[in-house]
Amino acid sequence: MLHIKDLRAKIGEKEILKGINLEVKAGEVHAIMGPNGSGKSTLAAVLTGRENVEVTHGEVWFKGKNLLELSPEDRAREGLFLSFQYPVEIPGVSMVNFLRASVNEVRKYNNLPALSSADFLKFMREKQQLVEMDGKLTGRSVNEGFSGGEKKKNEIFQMAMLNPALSILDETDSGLDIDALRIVSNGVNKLKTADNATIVITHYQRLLDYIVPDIIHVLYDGRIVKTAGKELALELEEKGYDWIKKTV
Amino acid sequence: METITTVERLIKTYSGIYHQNKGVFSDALSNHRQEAVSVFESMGVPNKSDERYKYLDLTPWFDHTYGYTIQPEKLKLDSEQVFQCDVPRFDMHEIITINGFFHSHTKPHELPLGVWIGSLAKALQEIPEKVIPYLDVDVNLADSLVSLNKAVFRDGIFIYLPKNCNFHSSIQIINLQLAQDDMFVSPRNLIVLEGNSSVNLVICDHTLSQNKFLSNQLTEIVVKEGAQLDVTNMQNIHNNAGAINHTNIMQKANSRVNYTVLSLHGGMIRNNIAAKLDGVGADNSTNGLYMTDGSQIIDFNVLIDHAKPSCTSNQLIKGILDDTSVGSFNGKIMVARDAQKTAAFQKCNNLLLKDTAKVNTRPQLEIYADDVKCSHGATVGQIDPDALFYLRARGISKDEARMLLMFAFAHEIVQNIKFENLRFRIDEIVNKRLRKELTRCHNCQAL
Repeated sequence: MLHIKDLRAKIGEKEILKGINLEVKAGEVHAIMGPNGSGKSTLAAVLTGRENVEVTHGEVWFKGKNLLELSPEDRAREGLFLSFQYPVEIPGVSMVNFLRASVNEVRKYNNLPALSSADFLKFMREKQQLVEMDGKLTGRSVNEGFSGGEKKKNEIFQMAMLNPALSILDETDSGLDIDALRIVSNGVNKLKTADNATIVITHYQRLLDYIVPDIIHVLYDGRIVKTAGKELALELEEKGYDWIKKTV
Repeated sequence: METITTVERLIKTYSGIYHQNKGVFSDALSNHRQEAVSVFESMGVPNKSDERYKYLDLTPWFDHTYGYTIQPEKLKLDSEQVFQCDVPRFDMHEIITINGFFHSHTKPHELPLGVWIGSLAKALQEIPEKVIPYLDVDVNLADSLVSLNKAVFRDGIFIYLPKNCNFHSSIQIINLQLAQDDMFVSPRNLIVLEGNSSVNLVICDHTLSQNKFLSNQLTEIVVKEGAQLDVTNMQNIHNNAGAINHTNIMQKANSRVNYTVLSLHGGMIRNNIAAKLDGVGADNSTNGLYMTDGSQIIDFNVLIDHAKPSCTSNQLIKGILDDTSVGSFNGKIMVARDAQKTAAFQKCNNLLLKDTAKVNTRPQLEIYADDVKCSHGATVGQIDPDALFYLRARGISKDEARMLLMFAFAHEIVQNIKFENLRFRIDEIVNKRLRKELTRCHNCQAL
C-alpha cells in the first residue's frame, strides 16, 4: 500500500529525514518510535503534503500512485489520513459543515454521489457512537474549546467518517488521560480491517498496549535504525532511547 | 485672470446647490439650512489634513460634475428590481426611495395610530411638531459634509414610532439610485423611537444605472428610554459609485441599538457612525463587515460616546480585502468623567487576501472616568495556514477551504443579527460575495 524509498527532506536548510525506507501492506499496523527530534512528525508532514517541508530525494508510492505529486486534498481523497498531533481550532466553521464538506468532497473524487442531509446526519451519528464522541461537540465549531482528549477523539471520529486506507496517528496519545486513551484506542481498533493499514507514531510504549503493532521501527536522526516485532517496544521502555543511540 | 483653488471651487460648486435653489429650500428649516451652508462654506470638503479623513481622499469624488435633482423622479419600477431584496418567510413592510426621495410603499398597508413611515419632506409639511424637535442629533462631531447635507437635502425617510409601539413587522427600506447622467444625491433620514417602542429595520442600498453617483447621506436616529432598535444595512453599489453615510444616534436610558452594516460592494464607501449614550443603562452594538476587491475603498469611522454611567457598548468591525483595495477603521470610545461603570469594547480584525491590499486601523480610547471596563484592539492578518492545511488534509480543496475560513471570519458579524431568516439570507449573500458571484447581479454590471 505504501512504499517509501530513500526519502530525504529538509525544513529550511536543515535536513531532517536522511533516507527513510518503509513498506506498509494492507492489514498491517506499524509503529514508529523514536526520541524527540528524530524526524517522526516530519515524516507525517511529508506524507500528508505540508508545504514547509521540502523533499530533496526519494520516492513515495501510495496505492500505486506517486504520492509526492498529489495535493494534500487529493492525498486525503485517495485514502490517506493524518490524526494531527495538534488539531487546529477553527472558530466559526461548524463541525457539521466541515464534516459534510469533507465527506462529500472525498465521495465526489471517488465518483460517489454526495450524501443527502438526512443520510449524512444518520451516518455521522453512527460514527459518533463508535468513538464515544459527545453529541454536543458536533454542534460546535471545529475543535473550538475542546479539551485535549476531546480533540484527539475528534480526530478518530473524522477517521471513522472518512474510512481511510492508511491512517497515520501522530502522537495521538499525547495529552490523554488513561480513560481517553482507552476510548481513542478502542475507536482505532474497531476501524481496523484487513484492507486498511495504520502507522502509529509515538514516543512512549504506553499507546502500544492498546493498539498492538505488527512491526515497530525506531527512527533516530532521520533514519530508521531498527525494525522488529512488538517486543521491541518493551525493550525500549526498559532500556530507553540511549540504548539505541549507543548501538548505532 | 483670477485663479481659483480646488478647495474654493468645490465649496462654490456644492454650496451653489443651496444658493441656486433658495426658493425650493425656503421651508420650515430655512434658518437651519442657512446656518448649515455657512458651516460648509467655512470648512469645505474634508481633506487628508482632517484627522477623521486622514486615510480617505474625497477630492476626486467631489471634483466631478454631477447633476442634482430637486424633484422626485416619476418612475415606474420593475418589480423584479425591488423583489430581489425579498427575504423569504419574513414579514416586511417595504418602502422604496429613488435618488434619496421617498417613492412608494410596495404593498397596500394600514399603519397603527401615531406611526409614520414615509417621506421626511411630507412629514415636515404635515407634522412638523413630530419632526423638528428631533432633528440635529448632537454627537459632538463637526463634519462639514453633515452640514452640506443639512443645507441641501430635499427628502428622505421619516419613521416615527409612538410610545410603547412594538411595530408588528420589520421595515425594509430599499434605496435605489437610478439616473441617466452622473448624479449627486443627498438624502436625509430621521428615525424616532419613543419610549419603550421597538422595530427592526433592514436597509438595502443599490445602484441600478451605470453612471457615476456620489451620495452624501445623513441618518439621524433618536432612541428614547427603553426603546429597542435593530438595523441591518446592506450596501451594494457599483464600482463607479461612492457613498458617504453619516449615521448619528442618540440613545436615552435603557435603550438598546444593534446596528449592523454590511459593505458588500462599492467604489468608495465611507461609514460614519456616531452614537451618544445619553442615559443610564443604554446599550449599543455596532457591527461592520466589509468585503472589498479591485480598487474599492472602504472607510469605517465609529465614535461611541459614553456620556452617562452604566452604559455598555460593543464595536466589532471585520474586513476581508482582496486585490488593491484599501480599508480603514478609525474607532473611538469616549467615556465622560461621570460615566462610571461603563463597559465599552472595540475590536477590528482584517484579513488581507493579497499583499497588495491594504488596511489602516486606528483604535482610540478617551477615558475621563476611573471605574470603567474598556478594551480595544485591531488585527491585520492572513488566512491561518494551519487551519487551511487541516481542512485540506480532510479532502477539502484549497479554494473551498479558503471559502470556509473566510465565511467563518465573516460569520462573527452576521451572527449578531437577531432574526433567523434574515440571518440566513445574509449568510447566503456573504457567501455569494466571497465567491465573487454578487458581481453577476444585474445591478452590478458596471465593473
